Amino acid sequence: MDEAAESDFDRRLNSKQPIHLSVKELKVVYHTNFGPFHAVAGISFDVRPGSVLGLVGESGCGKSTVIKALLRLLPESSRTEGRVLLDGIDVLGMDSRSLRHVRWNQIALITQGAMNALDPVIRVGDQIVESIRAHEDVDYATAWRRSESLFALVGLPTQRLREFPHQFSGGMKQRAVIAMALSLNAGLLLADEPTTALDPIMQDQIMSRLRKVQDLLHRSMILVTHDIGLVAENCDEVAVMYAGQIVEKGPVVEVLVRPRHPYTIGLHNAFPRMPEENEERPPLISIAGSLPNLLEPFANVGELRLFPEAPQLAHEHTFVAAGEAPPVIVGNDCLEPAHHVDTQGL
Amino acid sequence: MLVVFIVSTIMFFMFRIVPSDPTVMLVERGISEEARQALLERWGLTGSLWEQYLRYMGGLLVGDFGNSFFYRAPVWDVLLPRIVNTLWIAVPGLLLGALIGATLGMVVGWARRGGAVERGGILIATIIRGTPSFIIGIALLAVFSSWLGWLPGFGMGDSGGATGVMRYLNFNFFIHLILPLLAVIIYFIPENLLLMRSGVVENRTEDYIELVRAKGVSDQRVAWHAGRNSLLPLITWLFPALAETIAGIVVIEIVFSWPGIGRELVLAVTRQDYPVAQAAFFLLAVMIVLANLAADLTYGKLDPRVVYK
Repeated sequence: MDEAAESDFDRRLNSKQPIHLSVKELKVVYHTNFGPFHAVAGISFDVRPGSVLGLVGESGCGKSTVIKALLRLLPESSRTEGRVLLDGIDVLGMDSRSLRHVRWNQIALITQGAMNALDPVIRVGDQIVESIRAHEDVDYATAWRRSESLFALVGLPTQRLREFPHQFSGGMKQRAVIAMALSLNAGLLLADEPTTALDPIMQDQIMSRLRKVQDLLHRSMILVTHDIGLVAENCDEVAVMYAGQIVEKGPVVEVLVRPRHPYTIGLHNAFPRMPEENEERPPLISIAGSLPNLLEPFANVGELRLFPEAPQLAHEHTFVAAGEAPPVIVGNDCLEPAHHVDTQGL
Repeated sequence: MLVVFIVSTIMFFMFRIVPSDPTVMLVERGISEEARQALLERWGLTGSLWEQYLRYMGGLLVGDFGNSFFYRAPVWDVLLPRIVNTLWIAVPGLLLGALIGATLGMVVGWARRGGAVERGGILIATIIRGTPSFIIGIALLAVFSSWLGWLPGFGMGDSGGATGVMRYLNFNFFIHLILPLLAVIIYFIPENLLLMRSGVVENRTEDYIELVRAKGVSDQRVAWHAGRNSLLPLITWLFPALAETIAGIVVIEIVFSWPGIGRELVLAVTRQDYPVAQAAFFLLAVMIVLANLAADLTYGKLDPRVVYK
């Protein structure tokens, strides 16, 4: 392929628009030996074109299940309901041919690269080339040159494309995974805990790199994390998940500065803060209890955790009674004002 | 080297421990005492055990296995054509068996968990794996040779006076080759299949497989990734397993009267033809050592993480 055709290929990719993602009443049920497990219990959210949504919550709350459901990567033993609309087109109803086209072309995935995200016996460059050539009819050399520019974009020396994943450090692998996710300039990026396995310095490098890429490419993005700090720095909006539900969502500033839902408050408190000068170190308040059993939807919501460090909350604002879903708070408007949250003293 | 040395030493003494005198069996009755002594001398059976041992090992160093008692000819001349015959069924048999087995293992491993393909594949593979190789051989003989009468099941066919390479490159040889070769292939498939399957099943839940799938490549391509990674344990197993497989090939050679080294080995032991038996064992040991070496080298090629310093 000559230079002209190659730049045509790049131009075509670079002119791709960010995607508007609209998720409506998404439900995921895993069929287990102990009965159906309601991992995601009917959630709805939107990612506006070019914006970043933070999806936060603790381990097991269903964040990653949501991400996998969007790409239809869930195992066959699960059932997914609802609608996942990419610029109005439903992904869940697609045949496998259209689905293959959507994957990577429109939705790209950034997984925890530090672990085992790359095939250990294939050169990193070839894995990026594979993602390009699965969708674009370009020759190997063109795809390789594009991989080189992607490596440059994420700050990796291009000659390392010829190496294998085990020759990369954790941070480098993460960068390589990000480079691969950008290979077709997909309109929507799903970043599933991209920095969880890295040390804080590397975390910061990766996230600032991701921010730079985002400034350059303006992709729509979902950032899944349990790190509220990452959300504050990187996201436009945030959705807080708990037990397969979104319990509160809205603009980052509102939700993080004035959390309304008791769980968001708990999450907020559980995040360590640097003390101000001359200030005593603020206590770290953990969230007591554990997640309710999702094998039966909300039968055990009465066991939803209390807040022992904030007795006024525990006393006044136990969650809703058994059998009901926890309330959802959107923006600063409490959709279901089932209870009053007193933020005084928190 | 050490392994080969130890094996040849053990073999030497093992055959000497057997309390029988080969001259009694192999030498014509009524031979004079002087003639018997002359024979013993020629066979290297005179002198103390240590003298015999040193003489034997010294011969080994220069590639001299001594003379066969039975054929009254140098062991090399006896074994060399037999080795070639064995390679004709062993090499293509093992390669095809590994290839077919790994491919089927790939299919079974990638099939839906708990589905008919997986259950059926494992069941059939386990049954064949549990079947002794002589049963496989006899079944093939019964069906294709006796019942249908399509293929000969005995020996290598008449050479028709052809020698050298032409001994093997003729139709008659090939139709004789089919059944024993088939037996080796069938005998070798199940272990490859089961090992490949478990590798694929293990790999298909790895993170990188999920990412490959998310890339939107075809399902076959995703399976290829899982299979490519599953080859690594298969190779480590495959070459050392040749040793066990040789035992199976010995039996197959006997069932089909295939004049290979395995059959010759068994015959030599029953004839108390020590030099031939020792040499056959020696060559098998060398083959196994080479197979392990080949495994290491192949592994280094297949897995970039393996580095030999």
